[in-house]
Amino acid sequence: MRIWRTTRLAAGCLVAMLAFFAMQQGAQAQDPQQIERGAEAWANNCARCHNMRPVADISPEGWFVVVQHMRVRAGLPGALADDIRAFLTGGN
Amino acid sequence: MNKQAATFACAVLALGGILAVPAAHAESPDTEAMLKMIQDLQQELAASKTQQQQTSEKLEALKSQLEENTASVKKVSQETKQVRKDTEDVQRQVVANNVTLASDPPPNSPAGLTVMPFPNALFHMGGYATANYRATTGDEDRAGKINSFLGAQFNPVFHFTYKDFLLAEAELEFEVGDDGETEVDLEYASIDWLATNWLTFVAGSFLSPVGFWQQNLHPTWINKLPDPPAGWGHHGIAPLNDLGVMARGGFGKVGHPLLNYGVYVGNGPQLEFEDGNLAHLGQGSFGLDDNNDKAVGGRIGIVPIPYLEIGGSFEVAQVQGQRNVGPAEDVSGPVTDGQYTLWGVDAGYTMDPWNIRGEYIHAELDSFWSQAHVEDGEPVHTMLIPANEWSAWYAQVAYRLSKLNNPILQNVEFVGRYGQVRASGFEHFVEHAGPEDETTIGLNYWFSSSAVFKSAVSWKDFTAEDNIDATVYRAQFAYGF
Repeated sequence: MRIWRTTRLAAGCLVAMLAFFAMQQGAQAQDPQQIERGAEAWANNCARCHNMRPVADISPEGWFVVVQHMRVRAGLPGALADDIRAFLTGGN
Repeated sequence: MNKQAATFACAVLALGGILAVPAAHAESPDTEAMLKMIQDLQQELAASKTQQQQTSEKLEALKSQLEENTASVKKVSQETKQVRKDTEDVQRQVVANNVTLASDPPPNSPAGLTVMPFPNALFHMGGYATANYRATTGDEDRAGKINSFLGAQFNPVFHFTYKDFLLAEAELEFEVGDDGETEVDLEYASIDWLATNWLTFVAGSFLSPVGFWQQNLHPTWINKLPDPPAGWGHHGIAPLNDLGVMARGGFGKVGHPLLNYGVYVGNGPQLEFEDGNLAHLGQGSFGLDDNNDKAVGGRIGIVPIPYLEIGGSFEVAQVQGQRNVGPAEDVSGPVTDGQYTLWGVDAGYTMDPWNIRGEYIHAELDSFWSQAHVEDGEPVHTMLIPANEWSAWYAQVAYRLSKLNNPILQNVEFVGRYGQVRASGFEHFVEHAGPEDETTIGLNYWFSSSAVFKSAVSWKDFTAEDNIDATVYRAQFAYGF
């Protein structure tokens, strides 16, 4: 069963990788610079796939949902997505 | 003393005489005038008294009204104080709740990073709409009708969130088919649990994370050209979507390199028949697996600097040989699985005004036994399907005149793409893979960040014997909402 050997190998590598990066992650507390970081993260990451949508295109509630969706789709770290969300919802 | 009294008496008598002179003239005309004046004065005095009485009454009325107003102001002031007190109480409750969330996150909240400022449950609908036109020369079957408006699409995407840790999302595709019938497809439908800062679990039907185009660039308002690269899209080599579970997420902080990943276990690819023959290795989301072996796949992407992403993908699976497909029954012969292995790499640089991308994907399917034809009333035997290889790649460059000051020209974008598809092995697989060299140039105009008119011409050089080369002209209007 070559596929299961490959699967186990891939799963092992993935778990090791996740554990390595997880140890380096820390909760990023909210701070006054969050909106500034969010603006930078918005500019750096959204355009990797598509044009950046103006903030006024979507309501703050809409941005809350859209950022959650894009966090999953683009594989963004949660803290970075929170910074973008703070920027797009005006600090809410 | 007597002398003084006598003198005083004389003075009094003299004064009395002087005063007696006017009295002696009391009945004169001057006296009548004086009396009349006195009467007039008396009348004026009476009128003044009446006016004064009226003024006093008005003052009393105003005083009464002032007292009423004062009472009303006091009442309003008391009510305002109560409202202010209630508001402060509510504010204190909100602050208390936020402090609780931030300092003591619930078990399902990703590290308590987000203070939920909105209702717990939120909904948002996005998506995109597309109108197409295509004209072509050459192979009608391969490139479509000669000259036609076609394939109007409407793709609503639904998002439902609960707090900051749960997301349910689905994309539908409504499309007018070639026969005029409306076709409805479910592109994906999943429930996502955002477990931690770097880990999200996805369950259901999801877009395959293998490669970059299918997952991130397939919406028409994002794709720079009206059609997908050769080898991608429906009946392409790259996986479209799958049904299963996936773990995905990312690491990194703003201003630092980022890493993203996605790894899944799903039902995997399955064989598909068309026109009576085994024709495709289907890469769609199959609702029922045809064997017990699950496909495993995924992608890792690295963003070393902003605007640059490099990724690597893989998928391994067992493809089940088929038996008793269609009207044929009691198909004789063995049926076995074939080992399927896919890998790919991708890269993209998207610093305005440039948008440069490239992808390569390679897949192999070992030989296996399967029914390969559907015949009615004829004996059917399984056959050994030879080993197959597919590969495809594309490179795409887009340049937008965004640096110009002209408000019209800065919305113009030029696009060029070159790609190849290669296939070898089972003849029907090769035929439907459509090996070709494709060159496309396009001109876009952006009306907004998500509304674009695209025009393009593609030169398709097919390498299979039965396919005729074609030139395809396409126009498309796409709007992402």
